[in-house]
Amino acid sequence: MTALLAARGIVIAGRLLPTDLDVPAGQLIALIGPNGGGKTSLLRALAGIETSAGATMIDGEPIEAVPPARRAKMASFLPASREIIWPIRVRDVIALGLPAPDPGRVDELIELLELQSLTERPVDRLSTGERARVLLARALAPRPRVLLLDEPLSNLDPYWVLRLLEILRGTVTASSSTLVALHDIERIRAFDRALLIADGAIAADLPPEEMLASEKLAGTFQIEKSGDDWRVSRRAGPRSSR
Amino acid sequence: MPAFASVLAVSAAVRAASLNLCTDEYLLLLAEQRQIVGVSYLARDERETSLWRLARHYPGNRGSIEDILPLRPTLLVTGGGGGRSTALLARRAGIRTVDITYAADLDGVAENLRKVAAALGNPARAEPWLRRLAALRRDAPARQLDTIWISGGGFSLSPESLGAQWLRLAGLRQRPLAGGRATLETLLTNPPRVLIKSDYRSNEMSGGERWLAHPIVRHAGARQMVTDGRPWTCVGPLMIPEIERLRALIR
Amino acid sequence: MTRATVLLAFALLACATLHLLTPLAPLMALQRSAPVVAQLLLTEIRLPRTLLALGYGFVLGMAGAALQALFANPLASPDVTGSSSGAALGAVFAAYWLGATEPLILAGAGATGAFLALVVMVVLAGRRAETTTMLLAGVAIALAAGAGTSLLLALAPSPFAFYDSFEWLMGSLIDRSLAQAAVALLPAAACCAFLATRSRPLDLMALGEDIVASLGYDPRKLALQVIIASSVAVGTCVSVCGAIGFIGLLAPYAARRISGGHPGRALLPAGMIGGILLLVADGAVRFGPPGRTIPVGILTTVAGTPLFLWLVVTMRRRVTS
Repeated sequence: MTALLAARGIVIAGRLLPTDLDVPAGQLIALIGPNGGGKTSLLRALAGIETSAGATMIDGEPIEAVPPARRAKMASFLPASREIIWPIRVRDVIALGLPAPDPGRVDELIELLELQSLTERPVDRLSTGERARVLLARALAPRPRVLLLDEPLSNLDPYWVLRLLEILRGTVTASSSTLVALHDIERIRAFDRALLIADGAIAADLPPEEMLASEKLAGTFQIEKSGDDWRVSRRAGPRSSR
Repeated sequence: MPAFASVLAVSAAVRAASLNLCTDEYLLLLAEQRQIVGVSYLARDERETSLWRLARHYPGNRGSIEDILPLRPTLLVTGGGGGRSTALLARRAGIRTVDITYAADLDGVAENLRKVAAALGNPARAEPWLRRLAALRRDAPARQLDTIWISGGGFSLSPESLGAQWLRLAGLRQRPLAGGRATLETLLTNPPRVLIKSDYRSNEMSGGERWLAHPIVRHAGARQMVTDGRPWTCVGPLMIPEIERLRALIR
Repeated sequence: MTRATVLLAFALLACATLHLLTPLAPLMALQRSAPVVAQLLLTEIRLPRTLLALGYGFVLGMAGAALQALFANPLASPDVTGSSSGAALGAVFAAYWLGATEPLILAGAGATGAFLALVVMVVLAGRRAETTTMLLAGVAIALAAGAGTSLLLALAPSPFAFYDSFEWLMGSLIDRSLAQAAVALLPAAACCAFLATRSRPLDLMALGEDIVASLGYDPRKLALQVIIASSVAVGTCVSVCGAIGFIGLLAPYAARRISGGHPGRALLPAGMIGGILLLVADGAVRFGPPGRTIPVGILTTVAGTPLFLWLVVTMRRRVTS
């Protein structure tokens, strides 16, 4: 069984050590780790945005060699930054994600992300949370094989955090997978697999419950379980800062 | 002392200088070599005058009386007006001045020739030039051809100007033009019989030179002639050989 | 948007025809008396001017739109980034000081000057710089290049050169030949055609460089392509007509109203609007006082400055909201 996504020796100088990763189809994967630890770098490397060495293959095809016409359908990347300066209508922003015009698909996404009241609004006049949903719609639009999302849950209210987790579950099918970088470690319970990224490498690769219980996690974040809750570890020394 | 000797004495003692190109011309044409102590830097420039080789024998000044005082001139040829009280300053410094304001007509040019030659103590040296000028005026062709004289950018002459009067001596009548300038439209729709192009600084880039390269200008006029642009700056006695040349070409 | 584009194309053609044929009376009179001359008047005197107005305006609009898309900044344009002034400096240096007379070499010098100015601006301000930084860098370069151009002209071998300052710094389309128009517009047309092919990735730049890269385009290569193409197009036009400002700033703004805010799709409409603007401005110059010539760049500046100020004010309001 060839993996849907297979990364071999991908490196970003100064930020990501040589990393291998196999992702089969049908997986919803959470990426957690300290700030500056390499979550974003890993996603960017997998998306083919920036690599000093190594290759990421989707369905056996190196992603950097895929021409723009097909690229959107193979992998879609959503960066953490939500900035758009041009006053483009929400509907048109979503349509940007499609290699060929498909109004029906745009309507689907508008409904999915409950943007009906905002379709004609210029995107630079939306709140951060609204803009986040629009940009996510854009990323979902081409129905890519691999979705790579950097902190899609930040700036969202509790309704939308939960709703989004439902939507992300829906993006995972027999032929597609989704990788999501998160800050809130409690949320990983909604995922199939968790990767702990620290110091530019995958420190742990476990199912979510095991990850939450692991020493590795506690050690990396320098936190410890206290009953049902977490607190700062008493044994904490100065954290390695990046 | 005999008049002859006194003239010699005068002419020997003269140390003459001039501060601008137009007065330089008279000085260089009419003075003996030992009589000149300084001319303007323009006179020494090949692009400005045909007398540049002669002028190189003398130091060049920047047109201010300060520059020539160290040369201890006894005579200053002044002219050209402007805001400078050059003549006043010269007289205060004890320097004799001969003033040749910009001549308005050919008589004025002749008058200037006589004045400068007399001041230098060489009245005879003006004679050859006066003769040639008189000959040109006497034999001016009756038939005058419709002419436009242009320099860079299409700038032309007024028909009443001294330059136009010189042209008439060659049988060329400068056409009156709106704004004193020839336009592409005029050159195309109403071309002159003769187009005289000044070649002043023609090898140096300027917007005006680019204009002269326009196809309309290059093909305008039944007949085109290039004129040495340098004498036209002052339209003084150096025009005489140029007009003689043009007249011969027209015949 | 296609309907708007077609309308714009018609408007452009109409303006060009008007520009070519007015004033009509002298032309008609000549047609009756000497039709051959009338044709020459049209093809040798009027046509180059109309072609240059249309083409140079188109270049400014399209280059402005491309630069604004690339820098994700509605104030980027050949004049604000210093590119036009750099082009003038390059052309003046080559023509008046190196004695280059071949029009193609002058065009190349203009293109080089435009390119270097953009490179210096990017080095000073960075590519994704804030508006303020980019404006400061670009305006500084424009001022320096403009002063440099005047200085070179003042010290040039020919004493007439100094009076050419106005034309170089404020532009003129008058009395250019067909050959000059060709030297300016043929390379520019090729560059514009190339820029048009970059329309899609430039649209995607609205989403950010990372997304552009993730979709298979190389943002750095795109930047280099846009910078080189716009420099060559603007540079060749400046080498023939001097620097003309504000069209490259305002045409894209209007074009984005048509393209729904998409910066890449605005390229072609911006070109057409730019052509219309310059045709109108040059037409107005024709009807100025007789015997005096108002450089066309003065008209575009006088008309463009209030619009530019209004743009800055609305931008400020948007940023603080």
